Amino acid sequence: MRLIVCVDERGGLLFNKRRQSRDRVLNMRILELSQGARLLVSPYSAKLFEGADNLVISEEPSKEAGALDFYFMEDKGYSLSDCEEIYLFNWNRHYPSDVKLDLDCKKAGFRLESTREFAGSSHEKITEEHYVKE
Amino acid sequence: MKNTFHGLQKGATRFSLLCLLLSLLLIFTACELPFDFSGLGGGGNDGTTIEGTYDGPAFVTLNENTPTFTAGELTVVAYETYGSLDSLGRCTTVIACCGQELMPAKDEKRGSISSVKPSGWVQAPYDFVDGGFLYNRCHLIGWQLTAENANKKNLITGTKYLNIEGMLPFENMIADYIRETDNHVMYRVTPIYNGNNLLPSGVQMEAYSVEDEGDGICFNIFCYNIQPGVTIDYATGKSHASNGDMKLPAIPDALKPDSVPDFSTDVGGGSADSGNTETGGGSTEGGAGGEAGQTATYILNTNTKRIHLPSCSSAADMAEHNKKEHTGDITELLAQGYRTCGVCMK
Repeated sequence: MRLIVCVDERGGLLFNKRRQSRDRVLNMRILELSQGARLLVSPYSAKLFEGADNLVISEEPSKEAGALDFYFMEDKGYSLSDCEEIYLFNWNRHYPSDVKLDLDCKKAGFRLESTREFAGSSHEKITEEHYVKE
Repeated sequence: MKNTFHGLQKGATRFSLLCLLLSLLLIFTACELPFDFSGLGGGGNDGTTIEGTYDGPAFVTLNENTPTFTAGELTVVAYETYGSLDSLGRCTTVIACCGQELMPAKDEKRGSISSVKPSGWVQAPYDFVDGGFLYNRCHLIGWQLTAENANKKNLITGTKYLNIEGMLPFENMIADYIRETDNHVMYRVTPIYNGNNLLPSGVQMEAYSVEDEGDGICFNIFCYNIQPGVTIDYATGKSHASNGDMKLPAIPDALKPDSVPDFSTDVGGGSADSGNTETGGGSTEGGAGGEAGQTATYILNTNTKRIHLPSCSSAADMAEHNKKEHTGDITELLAQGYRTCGVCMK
């Protein structure tokens, strides 16, 4: 499974059961990454990718994702046991959060493969970090 | 009172559809989403003294994080209204339907606001405060949302901490949501004063995204007007470096704060007068403060999932609706995800 997560500059993920932010350009990037594979999401995340051919909506996306599948994680949990890659996006903004991403990729045994930055549709700079399991 | 309307250029068809949508919203209910996440919440307080270095939350949630807009207040026509100053010269409630129509143009620069002296403006330098000074002229409705500059009805005396750690993240969230969706967000900010104080204790911020019925933005919070390391006289705005006498200002009960005083992990140095010695930690007779495998009585904060001894000051200050007494083995509580108070059970 290849995990995709978006956080703010303090590792925040959600506030009041809602995503902190969204960005159309980032959504396109996720679809680009997952091209040719399945993109698993929870029902809550599905609206972001309406119409995508490779979209799979699941109540338990982490369990259902196969080795080559991508899982865009927002409101459901994740497991690293079958995770080979992590794409960690940072909004580079400070938003409120009451749920943070409890994940240190390097401590979890992943090495940073690449980093890139790009402008989103409503975010000046989004950082993408690609981690690969060692 | 300034009251401007924008956005009339939006298509009539779109407006009609949205009005129909809103007309179905007869009762504005809590904006729930179909999944459950245990929020972390924050600590509230009722004038409790903080010893050591405050590293606690900049805000607490109110009314289960649900704003109190009525159906009649919800609109997709952008506007902004700034309440008149009261008899003490203090800002009052501001309310807006925020949309792209009100936001600053892409290359618009912020204007000077230094001519405004909000109530309680007694500026003071502190070298440990970012920027060197305690106070900012805090926009009630942030500049990035309505591009208001030196509007004295929209500027309060607020600490750097209130401005940057408290209010700004929420303004960022709203602004980015509007830019991304072109939707509208009902937004109300109310400075909260205790009596005739010139300095607000904090601000209540309520927001609700209209077109998607709160699916994108929905919150009701209180941001403290505090600065770690500084004790503030809210009556005047005067301040001094804290010598262990920093206080969190009280939140009126009417605002229905969701969380309660619980500084067990927020207080550096801990409290000297709420330790185990008076409560007989490790009692084997059913008293307070038992060890694993022993029966004892605890006070639970069901909101913060914290275990306290009955004598703990946090237990005394706890909101009744979050308080639960438990007699039993502490391991049962730990298995349920509860953690021990860092002050009374350290």
